[in-house]
Amino acid sequence: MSDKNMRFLVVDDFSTMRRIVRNLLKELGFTNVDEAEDGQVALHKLKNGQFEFVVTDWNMPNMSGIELLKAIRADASLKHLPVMMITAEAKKENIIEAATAGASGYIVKPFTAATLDEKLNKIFQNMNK
Amino acid sequence: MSDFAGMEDLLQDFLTEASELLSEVDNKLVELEKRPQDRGLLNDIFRGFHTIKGGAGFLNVDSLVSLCHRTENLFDKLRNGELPLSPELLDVILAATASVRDMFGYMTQARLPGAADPALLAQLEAALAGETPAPLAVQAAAPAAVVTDVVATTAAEPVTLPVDASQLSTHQPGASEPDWATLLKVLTGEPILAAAAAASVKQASTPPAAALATTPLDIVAPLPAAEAPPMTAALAPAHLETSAGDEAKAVPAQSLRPSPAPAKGGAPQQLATQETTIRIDTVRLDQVLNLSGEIGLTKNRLTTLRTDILAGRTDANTLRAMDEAVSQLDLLVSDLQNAVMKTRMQPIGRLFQKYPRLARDLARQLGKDVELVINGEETELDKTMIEDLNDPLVHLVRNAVDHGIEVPADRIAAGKPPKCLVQLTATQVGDHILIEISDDGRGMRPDVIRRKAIEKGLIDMETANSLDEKQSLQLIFLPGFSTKDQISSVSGRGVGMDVVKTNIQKLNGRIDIVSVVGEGSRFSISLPLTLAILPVLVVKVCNQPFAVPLAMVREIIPIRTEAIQEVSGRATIVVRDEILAVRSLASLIGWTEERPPSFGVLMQSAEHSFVLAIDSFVGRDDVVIKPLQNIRPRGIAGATLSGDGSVVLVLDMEDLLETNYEETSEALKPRALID
Repeated sequence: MSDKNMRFLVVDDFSTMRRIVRNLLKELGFTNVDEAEDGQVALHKLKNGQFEFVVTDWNMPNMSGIELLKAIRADASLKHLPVMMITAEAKKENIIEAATAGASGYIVKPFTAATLDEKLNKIFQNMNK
Repeated sequence: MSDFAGMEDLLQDFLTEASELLSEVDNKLVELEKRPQDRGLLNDIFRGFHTIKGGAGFLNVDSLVSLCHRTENLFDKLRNGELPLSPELLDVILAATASVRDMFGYMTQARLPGAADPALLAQLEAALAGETPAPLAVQAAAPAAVVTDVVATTAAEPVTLPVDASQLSTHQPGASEPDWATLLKVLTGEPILAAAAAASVKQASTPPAAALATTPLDIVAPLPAAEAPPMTAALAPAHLETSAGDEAKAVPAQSLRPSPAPAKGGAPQQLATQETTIRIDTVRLDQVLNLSGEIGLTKNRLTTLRTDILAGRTDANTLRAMDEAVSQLDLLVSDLQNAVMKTRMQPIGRLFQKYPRLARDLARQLGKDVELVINGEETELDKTMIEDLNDPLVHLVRNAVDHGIEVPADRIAAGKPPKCLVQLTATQVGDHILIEISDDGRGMRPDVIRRKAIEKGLIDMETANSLDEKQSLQLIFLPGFSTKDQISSVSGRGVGMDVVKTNIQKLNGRIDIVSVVGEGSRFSISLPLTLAILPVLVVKVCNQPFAVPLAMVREIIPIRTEAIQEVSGRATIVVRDEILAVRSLASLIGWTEERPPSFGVLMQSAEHSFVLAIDSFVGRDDVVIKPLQNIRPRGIAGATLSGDGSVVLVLDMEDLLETNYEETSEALKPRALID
């Protein structure tokens, strides 16, 4: 259903977490993954590379995940990109904030490959609509 | 048994990265004490706990998640201005940080840490609810740290608690009496069943007395948190203070008596396991890869040339091509050596960043006002050296805070600002790294040091009188030297400075002191960049080559037998008006000289210069020392291969000189004069 060659950008300031997400994506068959350590680096990479999916942490120095999301939605060449937010909080106001800013999905740490798969598929379905 | 089966890699990554993060958090907390309103700092600390929590969630370490979650929430309120930061609150936060570090310690051993101390969690909850945290167990953290440290450093002997309990209670109004009584009894080796029971009077259960009863050293390990919370709480944060080496020393002591692992909470026996992984910049790895690729190409070229030459083609062109290929290989291999060495280089800041917290806690405990300023944290040093430097540096930082600087009242009286400055600086000077620890304290008085050394019977009056000021300062490196009349709980046991010096020398380094009375002291440590490759001078004696470290060599001089003179029973030679002792290498290693030495190598060891008498010398070389397996002859650091493929022993000059002081002059004297 989904293209396994899809190019992902995983954004997190904690490299262990990037590795976790990367491994989980690999488990689901997505191997074309690049990493960025904060929103600024991510935005730079997005503008220069052909990425098709962004998975970003919320809380990061320099540029947070929500700022990155807003920047992506404000950029004509990037605004179509699906962006999934990873966060440690399942607070309602956080989810609302992410949704209003245009997040395609939302996943709460810690999560398993199965949860990630489910969330990704939901996003893919919405994209195909 | 691992509690993290299948996640070992992830765990390793997490611990490496999270420990660094935690050290940063620690330093920012020290900063925060100075600038409690700084939103940037509050944000960073918040994020630190948040990130650790996120990672811990994936590793299923619920206790760590819940502790970080509470602390993070606290910082969320602090950064939003919903809570004021009080000193009491900061203490709770520091205790939480220590508890997180303890949990990392458990995880290093692949064990799942139990829940944090309930008292600490309760305090965090109280703080979140806006209450002023009651200063109870956590307040006892600092002095307890000292106690564990003492336990750790003195290994097997029973220790008395070097802190007066009444004095403590003035410092620590919250520390409840029974805890201290218990601690004292444990440390003096008395059975503590009754005391411990008293301490945990409010708890349902009593500690398993058998494990606690006798050995003072077991105290760190077998105290299950649930049973005696005040004590465990006091001991847990202690591990922040104890250095890696101290803990390493404590381990064998504990292993003498296998102690049951605590089921939950408590302090882990050993936090500092040596790191076995390293993080390397990919650029550096690529460089190694490139160079090995090029070496492969050159090897192919050489193989072709060998075939040509073996086939009898030895014309000028072939030989020139051969010469070129070998020269190129030479260049590439030395580049590769450098590149590989670089992969082992780590910024020293990773070590330095632990010390501001150390200095702060110690200063607070001693009633001093200290700021530790760090410079040159980006300076790079071989990874193994960084690890081995921790002990000496911890000791020097403690020493500066404890002995070096004065209490604020004395400083004001001396017309100095009440706040002391301790500076820790690292710089690269040529092929050496210079680390300096300086303070603006009271300085060291050579006459006082000399007097103390005589009183302690370390030197006699005659020797003392012959020492100049610089040499007098060196006396503090003698084993058993301590200038404080009363053994202080912090650094006054006189077990430190000699160990510092030995450790530095093991790293082929040097330590020097400069001190001005009333203005402060400065300890300078000079270290080679790496231990992997050692520049040596290859010398020959009795037709056998030996390598001596080039760092010690000042110059090579010819020796005429008649130039050797005997001064007060020792063979000496005058080099440019300087009288230097002559030590024959042959007799140093216990051989008989075949002929009088023809050359002398003027060598400079830590304190003195001397002339090493040899037959001839081969030249300088960069060698890789291979340690000798199973045997350790005196004065031999290891072996290496020379250019012609023969084995060359590398001499450990300090060791050689120490073991041979008297015999040398005796052995050399008659022969040198008779021949």
